[in-house]
Amino acid sequence: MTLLDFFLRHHSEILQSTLEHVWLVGIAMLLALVVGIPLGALAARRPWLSTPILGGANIAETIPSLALFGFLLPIPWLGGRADRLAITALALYALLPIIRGTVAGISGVDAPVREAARGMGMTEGQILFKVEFPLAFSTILAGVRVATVLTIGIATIAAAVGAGGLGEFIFRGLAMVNNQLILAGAIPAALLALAADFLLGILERRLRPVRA
Amino acid sequence: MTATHQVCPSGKCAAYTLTEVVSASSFGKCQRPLRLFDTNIDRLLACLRALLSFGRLDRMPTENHCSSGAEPVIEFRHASYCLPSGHTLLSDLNLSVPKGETVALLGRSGAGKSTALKLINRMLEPSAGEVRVNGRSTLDWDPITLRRQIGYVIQDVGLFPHYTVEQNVSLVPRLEHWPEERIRSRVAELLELVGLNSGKYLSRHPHELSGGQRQRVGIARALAADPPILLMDEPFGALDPLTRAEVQGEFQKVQQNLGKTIVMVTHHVGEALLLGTSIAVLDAGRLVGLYSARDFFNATEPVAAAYVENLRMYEGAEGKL
Repeated sequence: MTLLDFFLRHHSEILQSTLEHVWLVGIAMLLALVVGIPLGALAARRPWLSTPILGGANIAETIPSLALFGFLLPIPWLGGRADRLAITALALYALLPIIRGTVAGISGVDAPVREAARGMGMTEGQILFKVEFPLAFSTILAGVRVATVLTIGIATIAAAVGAGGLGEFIFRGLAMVNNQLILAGAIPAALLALAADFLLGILERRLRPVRA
Repeated sequence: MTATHQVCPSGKCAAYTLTEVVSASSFGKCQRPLRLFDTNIDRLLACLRALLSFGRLDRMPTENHCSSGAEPVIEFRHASYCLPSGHTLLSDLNLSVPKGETVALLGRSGAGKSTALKLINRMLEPSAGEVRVNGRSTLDWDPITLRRQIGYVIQDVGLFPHYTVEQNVSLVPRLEHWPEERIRSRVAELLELVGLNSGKYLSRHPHELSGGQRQRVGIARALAADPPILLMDEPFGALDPLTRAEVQGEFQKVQQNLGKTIVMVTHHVGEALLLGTSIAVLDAGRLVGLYSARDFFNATEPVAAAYVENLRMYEGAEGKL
């Protein structure tokens, strides 16, 4: 049986798993954006906070993924359901590139632009939303892009705690020493990552601000 | 010991006081400096000459204060600014800017000019003394309200790169929720004022403009909500000499027509003489002299004299021909 035959025969299961995978990554990314962008903005604004914020995100990044799933297991609300657990772990991984991108984007706004904004009597909030975020947008998006690709890869390991996704095929394939099963998980995951990278890349280029 | 220099720029004598040293502990930090009549004969003679040659004997200097008693728009009272590291950028500045006048702050890089400027719109807060705008200490103003009444122009312009010319110029009126119709006519009016044919430039982004055009837009933006005060930090510093002369010319018209109170930072002595009603010379964080444009050439104080010398040097170059 060729690989193609396998894909054709199991297309509905593969599609099902792919959707699960997208769902896990999507929710995790949303969570990471909601937490990461404000943290990044805070770190850019208050330099004394940038060390603890970036340091914390760095530490989360260094924990091996399988270990992180294990660490989160005993936490009451999280440990109860596999998808919650997986989403939290994935969001933690996505945090660092998003925070980094936000800090880099906001710090990259030209000093005279910020000075002019302040001098004209814009409030801190107006400076953030009308000046800094629009100018930092493409850099933030670059961080989101890295985070998305990273998360799609790591999400395959979420199957280890029973959260589903394309990792199911990979783990089953490993257990049964069946290469076709492994590839049935690995290939769609790789394609998913490439597609996300490509689409976000287009968006990033389109939204890059014009600079003098 | 307090020494007060009196100047008489264009007949409007006496609103300027310069305190060189106030060391006596009996003077409180916020107390006005003791005012003594200037005994510098040279300067008195220069004043007199200027007055005589312009037939303004009717406005002879009598007191140290304007006879109208009007409160200066901007007033530095023993204002100092120190960095957290303890390094002093500006020490004990006393300077008054009457309504409608342009004071040029002249001095080397690092003399404290920009620091003085930023104390006015509370971009910085004085470490000691106070800066009063319209009779109120900047610390008593809400910084946003204060800044909205003060136009601010900087050397690097700081136009928002993601905004069009129209959006840049209309920024403060929009923040102030002006009706759309009024904003549109105001933008057109302003671009006309700074010599930019409005229709053509409205939808351009800053990167599509030349340096001179960008600075013109910067000036238009600063004037947008018609602020009574304008602060300019080396506004023409980044322009080539010919473009600079053009924009200065445009600005002179603006200055004459709008009657703004202006404080301008420059290290270009010609610019200070051209645009300033008076010239405040700063050196190493201290005010070392305050002159009318006419007085400036007779200044004996070394820094001011060096600037005059510098100006003459260029004149001397003509001798080569």
